[in-house]
Amino acid sequence: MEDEYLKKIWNSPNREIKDFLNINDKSFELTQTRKAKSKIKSLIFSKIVGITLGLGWISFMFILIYYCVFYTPMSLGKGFFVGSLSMISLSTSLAVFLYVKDIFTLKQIDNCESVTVTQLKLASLQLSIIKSVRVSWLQLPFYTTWYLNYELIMHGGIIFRIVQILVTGLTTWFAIWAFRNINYQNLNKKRVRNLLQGVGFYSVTQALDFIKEIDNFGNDR
Amino acid sequence: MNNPIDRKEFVKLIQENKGIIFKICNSYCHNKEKREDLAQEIVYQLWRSSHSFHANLKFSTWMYRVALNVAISYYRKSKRSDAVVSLSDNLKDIEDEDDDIEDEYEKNRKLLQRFINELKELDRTLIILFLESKSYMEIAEILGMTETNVATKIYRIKDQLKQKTINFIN
Repeated sequence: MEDEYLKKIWNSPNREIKDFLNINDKSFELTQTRKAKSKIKSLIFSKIVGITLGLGWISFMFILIYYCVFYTPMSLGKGFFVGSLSMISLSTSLAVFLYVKDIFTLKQIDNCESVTVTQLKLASLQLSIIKSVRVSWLQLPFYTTWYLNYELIMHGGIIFRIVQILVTGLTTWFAIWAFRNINYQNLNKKRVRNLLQGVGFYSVTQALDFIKEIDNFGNDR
Repeated sequence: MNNPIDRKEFVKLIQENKGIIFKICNSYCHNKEKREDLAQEIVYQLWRSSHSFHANLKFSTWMYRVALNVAISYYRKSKRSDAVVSLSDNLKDIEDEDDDIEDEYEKNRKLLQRFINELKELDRTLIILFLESKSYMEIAEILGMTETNVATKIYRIKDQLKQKTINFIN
């Protein structure tokens, strides 16, 4: 196909465009009342939901820690409770911090920049969910220690102790494994895929593919 | 908002360019009902970004950057839900209308549009800009790549379109 012919048919008057412009002329009017459904807004919304839930959880943890620290007597159980909840709060705070950081980056995204630059920034932000997920997994073992106290440890029996050591040991191993393995390089591994399934594995792989496409697009190959 | 383009001038510019906005929408949104939504989104984002438009930048370069960024983002957002329906819808449209189309240009235009819609997101932007007779320099500026790269990619995409046409005919 010759260039001129291609351009000619692309620019030829057609029924489809006429119909669209006749019916949808209002689409081209400037209505500022319209609620924008931009990609950026939806990304910001999902981050705000994550931050709200995270802050809610952290607040709940702080209330429990506060009451435990100031209204209960000193004991081994108090140490386990406050220590576990503090670690859970810390891990959640890190995930929330990453979400807040993403919002600031999102606010700086400008559609007026070149297509590859803007799209690369947007796709990279979709990948940032991975960082939050791997940090969040670090709190897992502390859900198996918050209830421990002197009575349970000393009088809980041998079976309880074995089960407790096994569960805490396994969750600790798993948390460290997840933290080390959840990254872009391992997205092809089934176990990593399963861990990301509930938090948008599809959009993460799509974003990664798109980043590769942009990289390839920008190269003189 | 302290815009270098006033509202009246902006509306005039949009009216003058609504054809190309439609073509971008048509290339990134296969769902007829959603095209209006995308067109509105582009116009809205153009107005929102108009404060960043500088007189030293060509209006079309700025407009294409915003419109294509919005369209690609919109497409990527709705790709998951629309992908299966859209391609079959697109093919059905062509099949349904094929009998009625007497105009050879119209028939080929629909075929060209179909082939363009099958390209990757970024390849689509390149060929749209090429078909709109933008210079390699302007395309490079809009997309953020080198002129040499633009030339190489366009050559390859045209080759791809040629191959698709041959396969379609056979």
